[in-house]
Amino acid sequence: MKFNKTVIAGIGETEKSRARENRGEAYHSMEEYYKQAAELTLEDAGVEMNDVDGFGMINPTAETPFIYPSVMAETIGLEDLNWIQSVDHGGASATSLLIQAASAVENGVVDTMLCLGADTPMDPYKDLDTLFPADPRGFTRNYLDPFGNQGPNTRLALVQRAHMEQYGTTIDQFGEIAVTQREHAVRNPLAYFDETYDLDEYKESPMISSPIRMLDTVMPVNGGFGYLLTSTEKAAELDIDPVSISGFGEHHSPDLSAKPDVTTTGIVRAGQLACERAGIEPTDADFFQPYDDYPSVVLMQIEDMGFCEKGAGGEFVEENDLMYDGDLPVNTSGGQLSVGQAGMAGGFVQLLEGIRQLRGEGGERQVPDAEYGIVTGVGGISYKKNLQNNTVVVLERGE
Amino acid sequence: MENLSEIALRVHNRRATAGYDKPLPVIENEPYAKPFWDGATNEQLLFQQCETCGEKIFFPRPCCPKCASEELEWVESSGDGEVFSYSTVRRSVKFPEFSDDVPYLVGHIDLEEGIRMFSMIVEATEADIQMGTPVEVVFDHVTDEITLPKFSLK
Repeated sequence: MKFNKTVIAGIGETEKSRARENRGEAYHSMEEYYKQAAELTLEDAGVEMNDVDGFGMINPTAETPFIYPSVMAETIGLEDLNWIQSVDHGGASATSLLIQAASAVENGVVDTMLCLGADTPMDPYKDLDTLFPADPRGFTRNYLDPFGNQGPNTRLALVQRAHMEQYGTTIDQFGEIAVTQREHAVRNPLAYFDETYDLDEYKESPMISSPIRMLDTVMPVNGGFGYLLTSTEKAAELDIDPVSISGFGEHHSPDLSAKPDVTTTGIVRAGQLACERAGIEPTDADFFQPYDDYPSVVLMQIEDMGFCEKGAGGEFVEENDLMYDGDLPVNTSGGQLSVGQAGMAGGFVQLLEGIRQLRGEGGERQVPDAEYGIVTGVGGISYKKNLQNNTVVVLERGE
Repeated sequence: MENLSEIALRVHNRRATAGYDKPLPVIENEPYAKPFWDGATNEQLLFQQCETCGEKIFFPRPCCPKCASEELEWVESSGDGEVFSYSTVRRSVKFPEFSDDVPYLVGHIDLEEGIRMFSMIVEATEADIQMGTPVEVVFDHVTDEITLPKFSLK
């Protein structure tokens, strides 16, 4: 199953900021990021605002007014829309929005769909401890936070520790991923972090929640992103390098048991579905852009996608070159670990980099002759098992 | 309906009254979970088991996540289990109320009845434990209403 009548016609990505005004970093509101992302995306595709008949966005972390997607559409100047949708899959939002929006275009519900994501986790006008308000009720509020949970760092610390104890994975192996991604980031002008570090510096960074150190965590940044989907018919009138969606898979709520397997993600099933639908093997892909809130999440997905056996991810990253010109290019943008994480819009980093590479616009980090690429989104760290939402997309150069 | 800041204020006031400033569960709107919290106050660690399919369930639910049956019974755990995974928290990045406790140890505990819960492991350091280390429940009566089941080395 491929989207045969739908193409990705344009992308847009803003500069990132941590909004520390004493360091000369600009603060922009969420609405300004959405506006900027819309302009960049439409300009890239060569499409006018009034040609857009469908709008999709992700649900941000920052508190928002009611019916926010409709408010946002109106704010950035979209009128006469036939379709508005939003996705609330945490880190899997950008990729799941792509699948849902492409379904609408493919079925002729809309012709041209503008999809945006922005978030402003760095807000100088709010106290730090109110930026991510505690859940009002439910699992995280009642059965994690009172017992000393400190957000995703603690959750993934337990996952990484379990992987280390079950499979013998080492700190150096996780570090290999972080160091390589930073090498990519210095080749990406849109990455927030632009200084390399080596394995020793990685291992000396401050401990946050053992075994997770500072350089294992994503830093919040403000930023906006977008992509534009249109019908192949409409695309023929545009001067673009189209990218198509050859396969996709989603897997949600992967393990309900009372003792869930925390070191295996729903990417196993989502990846199988995506590759079956695309008619490729994972190894046919020229690059892999896995959602990366932590190196351990990248490592688990390398295993779960089938690049190696379960538990052998540590050896895999040690023995294979993950650079853009290596054996398996991984997170060639630098990933969120080095680009920064724009809240719930973080997954756009992987998706837009995949599209960019297939258009041959990777600059100093261009994967040679990239034809197929695999992009993932994972979200829902703080509920039950971890990583409740899993999406895999196979992208292909051309129509 | 309360907005978030009103809820935050109410929780803050309740904490201030109780003299305990760390995050507390909000249990009023989860009546089905009341036996768990009442049990903890009485120093019993209770969990649900589905009477229809036999599934053991943690955390408390309104219905069985496996078969959707509402016929759930409460079972008392021995409180004995082993460490599945663990972490020493050194930065209280989300809840600064824990900053006086740092460093402290948390983990996934696998109870012998076959359920896994997240909790604090008290009076121990990372050097004392690994996957499989035996632990037992201890009850921390943090307010008049709330008791938190935590774990210590057995």
